[in-house]
Formats: sequence, structure tokens, C-alpha cells
Amino acid sequence: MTEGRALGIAAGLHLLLLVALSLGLAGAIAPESEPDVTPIEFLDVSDVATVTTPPKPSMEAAPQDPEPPAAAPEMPEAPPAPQVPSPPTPAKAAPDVAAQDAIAEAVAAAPARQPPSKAKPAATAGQNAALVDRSKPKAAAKPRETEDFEKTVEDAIPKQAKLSAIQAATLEQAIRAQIAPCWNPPIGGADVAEMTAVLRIRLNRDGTVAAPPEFVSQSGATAGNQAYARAFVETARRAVLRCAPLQLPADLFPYWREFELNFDPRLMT
Amino acid sequence: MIRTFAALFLALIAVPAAAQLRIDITSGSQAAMPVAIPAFPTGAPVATPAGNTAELGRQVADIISNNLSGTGLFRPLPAGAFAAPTMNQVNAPPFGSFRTAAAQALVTGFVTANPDGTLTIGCTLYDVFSEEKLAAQGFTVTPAGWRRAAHKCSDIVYSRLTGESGYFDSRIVYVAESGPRTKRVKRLAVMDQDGANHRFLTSGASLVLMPRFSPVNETLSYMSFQNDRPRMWIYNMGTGQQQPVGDFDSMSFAGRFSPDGRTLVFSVTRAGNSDIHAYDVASRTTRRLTSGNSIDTSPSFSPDGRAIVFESDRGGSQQLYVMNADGSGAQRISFGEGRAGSPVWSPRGDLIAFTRIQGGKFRIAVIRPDGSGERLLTDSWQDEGPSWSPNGRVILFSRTERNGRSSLRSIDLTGRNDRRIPTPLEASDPAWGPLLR
Repeated sequence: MTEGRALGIAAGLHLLLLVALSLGLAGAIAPESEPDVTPIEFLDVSDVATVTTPPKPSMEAAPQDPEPPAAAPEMPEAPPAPQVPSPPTPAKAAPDVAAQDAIAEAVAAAPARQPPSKAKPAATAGQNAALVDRSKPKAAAKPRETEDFEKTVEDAIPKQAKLSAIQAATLEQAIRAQIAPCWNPPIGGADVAEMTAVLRIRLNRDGTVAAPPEFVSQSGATAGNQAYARAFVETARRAVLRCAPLQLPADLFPYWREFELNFDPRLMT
Repeated sequence: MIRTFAALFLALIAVPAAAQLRIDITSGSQAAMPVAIPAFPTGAPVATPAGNTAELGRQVADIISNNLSGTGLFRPLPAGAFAAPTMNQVNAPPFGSFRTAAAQALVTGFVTANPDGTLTIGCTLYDVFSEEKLAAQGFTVTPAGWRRAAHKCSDIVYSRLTGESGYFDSRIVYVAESGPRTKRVKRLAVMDQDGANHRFLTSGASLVLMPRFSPVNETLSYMSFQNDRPRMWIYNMGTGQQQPVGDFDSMSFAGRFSPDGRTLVFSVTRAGNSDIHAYDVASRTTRRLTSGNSIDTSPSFSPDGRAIVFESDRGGSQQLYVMNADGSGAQRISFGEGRAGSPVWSPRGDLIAFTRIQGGKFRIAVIRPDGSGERLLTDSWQDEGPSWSPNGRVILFSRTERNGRSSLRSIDLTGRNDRRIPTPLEASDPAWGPLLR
């Protein structure tokens, strides 16, 4: 009795299920007849697409209006910058003729280094001082100014006289320790691993730069990386200008009056 | 006696100048370069549809500051450190005050409104120490396009100081994600490289993934699951036209354009095996580049268009291979521990970025095309899907945290400056577009 009813119910339910399934299936199958290549819907295309009209390069790299720039004084009122003598020609980067000329001029303009006046200087500064002292009473010449004397002494030191190993190491160390923290090498450039630059540095006795750092040579520059090569040299020049005045042992001035720096970031990459 | 000394000395002097002291500087500072970017001056402020010119001058300086600081290579100094130049000072800035503030470079310029409704935005870069004008360029823009002028100015400054081309006037496309994990809504979105001008491209009604920019125009490739037919499409943002890629009865995915934008390379899967195909956009023809039983996918062209890097498990595990553009001469380039996937060739050509899968972590790495010099750049749980900035200097990727949240990030190829790219929603699968024209 109950069994028969249960069977009936079960049969009915199964039938329902079958119907439901077949309907569902039909529904699921139906869309397949549509073309399956349906583009998806993109939003407000016209709006999105607008990349604004490209900025047009303007000849006005400098303001033209409202007032003509007060006849921009040729040179900005030179700010007091003893250590950075505003270069006569804005010294450009690297192998730049203008820069070279500027430096050449600067060098030419600098008081020509006097060749040591004959006879007076001796082999070493100490001896020299003694000699001068002793010769003084006899000398017809007027007394020297101290500065001249110092200069004479410096010049007296033969340039090729070797620094002692300790002196050389001390000097190199002192220069390196002051320049390196000021140098922001352009690490990450594609050609950084191959690039170096040599600059000639001329300093005054007080450690300030006597002339803009002079470009000497560069390795790793190619036709394809000129912009990078230029930027590279500029980072080196900037390092020197930023760090000046350098604090270096006064007694070794003849050795650091002029020297070369080889900027080589290979170990940093 | 003295005479002997003198003679000796003169003899010594006569010797040609000796070798100069030459010192190698082999280390430097990795610190960012301090740069002054004061508000760009204007004459008398003029109201424009984009705001008044004085306010624009401030915003232009802000955009440039934000762009440059985002590189990790520059540190814009706080505006209070110096007085902003006036219009008359743009050509002759008071360098002393910028030196005092320790700035090494000065970015200035001007914003003026023109009678025809356009704006002119000038941009000048100075070296503060040498007082040299390094670059100067003006741009005339519609008021709606003023941000692009700020990006162009940023590009000028960046490229002049680093010697590399810029990348700020560019856009990013990515997949914006929202909703619960089980019912995720994914929408394509596009925005400027700095996150501005964000727009959704799709409604999220259908699943769309793997958007990639063409390197030459306003065209995207993407993968759509519309009608359960996962396949590649090309979408032109300018015209709104869409074009299905090839006609395959199975899944196609992982598309990427060639450098000239004429070819799309992608994968087609058949019976558990996927091969790389090349589709000619103009003629709509397809040819197969790889064959065999392995899974070959994620193809990416070299910038000269002659070679393709891709991933394959033909050697037993997922690794990187480089082949000629016609599919010949495949050579494995990734070795070492773990697997390597999703390679992308740098637009600069010198590196390939990829995802290193190792020890349960996904990390962004770079390797030279010859397989040497592999470096891991990130160390997080799940960083994947690298994409290069147009200048090949910065890598964009997506990071998934252990809590499942995903975001866009970028990192310098030196491995420094891992930073988040702001997006309004969670984000994944980014692709950097070319510099805009």
C-alpha cells in the first residue's frame, strides 16, 4: 500500500526530473547555435580612446610674455661662489670644443707658472729654506714675499720626484674618500659596465677648483650611446664641483694641484 | 756646493713632465640626486578650463616631482627650501639659493595661456653647479592635455640627466579585480603611467584577461572567454574595432605584439599541448612557429624583431628558450634551480625579464638573452607577469599577498625602488604601453 504510493511518487519525481533536465539542457544548448565569435562589449570607447592631442613642441622654450623678460641680463648676477668660478663659456659635457676652449683660456689666463728662479732652490724644501736664510745677508736682491717664496719652494720640488708610497696612498685615499660620496654614477644604463671617464682636475691651494674639470678621455662611448656617455661625464664633473673644496694635506699641494680622476663604476654594477 | 746642487736641479727640471697622479674612483653614492622643482611661474594668473595658470604651474611642478621621485634616482627637495623663480628668473635663476639648498639640478619653466585657448608650458633644466642650461623645450597643449606636457617635461629632464630615454608620457593597461574570491569581477582598465586618467575598458560582464599594448599604436590584444571560447582578440582603442585572432577550435592565449605592431605571437592549446603561432594583423593569416608535445607559451619578440623568447617544458620543466622569429634554432637560456616563466624582452634589448619560480615563491628576475647574468629583483611571496617600461629601465609586475590581495608594483632593473602603482581596485596582469605620440 504505502510501498505502491512510494513507487508512484518516485516515478513521478523521476519523470519531473527528466523533463527538467531535458529543458535545462535544451536551454543550455540553444545559445550554441549563435555565432561563437562575439566581440565583448567595451565601454564608452570614444571617451577612453582620447589620448589628448600631443603636446606640440613650442619655440617658446623661454617665456615670451607678458613682459619681455626684462632684457634678461646676460649673466645672472653671479652668486658668490668662490669655489665655482662661473665659467666664461658654459662648459658643456665631454668632448666639447667650447669646454676645451674655456679651459684652455682659463689655463692661459692663470698666471703662468714661473720657472724656478735659477740657483736659489735646492733639492728639498727644508734645505732650501736654510739656504735662502743664509744667503740673505749677502743678497743684493730685495727680500721676497712669503707667498713667492712658498711658490718657489713648491716649484723647486721636481715634479717627477716620487711621492713616498705612504704619501701617495694617503693622498689617493684622501681624494677618493671625498669624491666618491659625491658621485652619483648612472648605474643601470645599458652600457654602464663598459664605461669610464677621465677628468683632469686643477685645484687651488685652498682646495677649491681652479678651473672646470677638464675632459680627458672616455671609454665605452659608442655612436649609439652618446646621450648616456654625455650624462656619464656630467655626473663625474658634478661630483668634483659638488665636493670642492677638497681637504688635502697642504704639504703635498704640488702633487694635488693638478691630477686626473678615472671614474669607473664597473665594480658597482 | 750650491752650484752643484743647482746644476743637478736644473738637470732634473729639464726632464719632461712626469706622469700625473691618476686616481681611480670606483665607488660612488647610490643616493638619489637632489633636484629643485619649484612651482612653474606664470605672468598674471589667467583662468583656463584646466584651472588658473598659477595653480597649473604648481601642479606641473608636482607631476614632475612625482615622476622623478618615482624613479628612485632623484629626490625632489621640499618646496620651502628655496623661493620659486619668477617669470623673469626662468632664464637666469638665482643659482646660489639652489646650491644652498643642496640641489644639483633645477627644473623650472612657465605656464602661459594663449589667446587661442591653448596653453604653453615651458620646461628648462639647469645644472646648479655649472650654472649651465642643460635642456629647454616648450609645449603647446589644449587645456585638457596639460598633464602630458608635464610628463614630456619629466621625460626631458630624466633623459638629459640619465642619458636614457624617458617613459613618463605613457600608459598602463591591466586587469582590475573586485568582488569575493568565488565571484571575482575582472575588468580591463587603462591609466596614465602615474595612475591618473584611470578608465575601465570593459564592464566585467565577460571575462577578459592578458591585455597587452601594441608598441606602435592605440591597439590592445587580449584574451576573452566570451561564450566559453577562450581566444585572442585585437582591439583598437581609437576606432573601437575588434578583430578575432585566427580561427582555432581550441584555446588561444598569451598574445604579444611584435615591435612593429604587425605581428601578434601567441599560444594555441590542443589536447594538452600548446604551440606558438604568429598572426599577421593585416593579412589575418596565421603560421605555426613551434611544434611537438611540449607546452610552448608566453612568446615575446626581441626589439629588433629577429628573435623570440618563450617558455617551454620540452626539457622536462618550465624554462626559457630563445628562437629565431621563424621558429627555428630554439636554445634554452635559463638553468639553475626552479622553473622560469612569462619572459619579456626588454625594449632596450639587453635583458629579458621573467618570473622565477623556486621554493614556493614567484619572483621577478632578469637574465641576458644569452642566458648569462641572471639576477633576482624581488623577494616576495608571489610576484609575476613582468612588463617593461618603454625605455627598458623599469619593470612593472603584479604582486599577490598571502591574504590573496593583488596590486601593481614596479621596480628598477637594478633591483631598487620596489614601489606600488596606485590603482582604485585590486589589480593584476599589467602591461606598459609605448611612449605616446
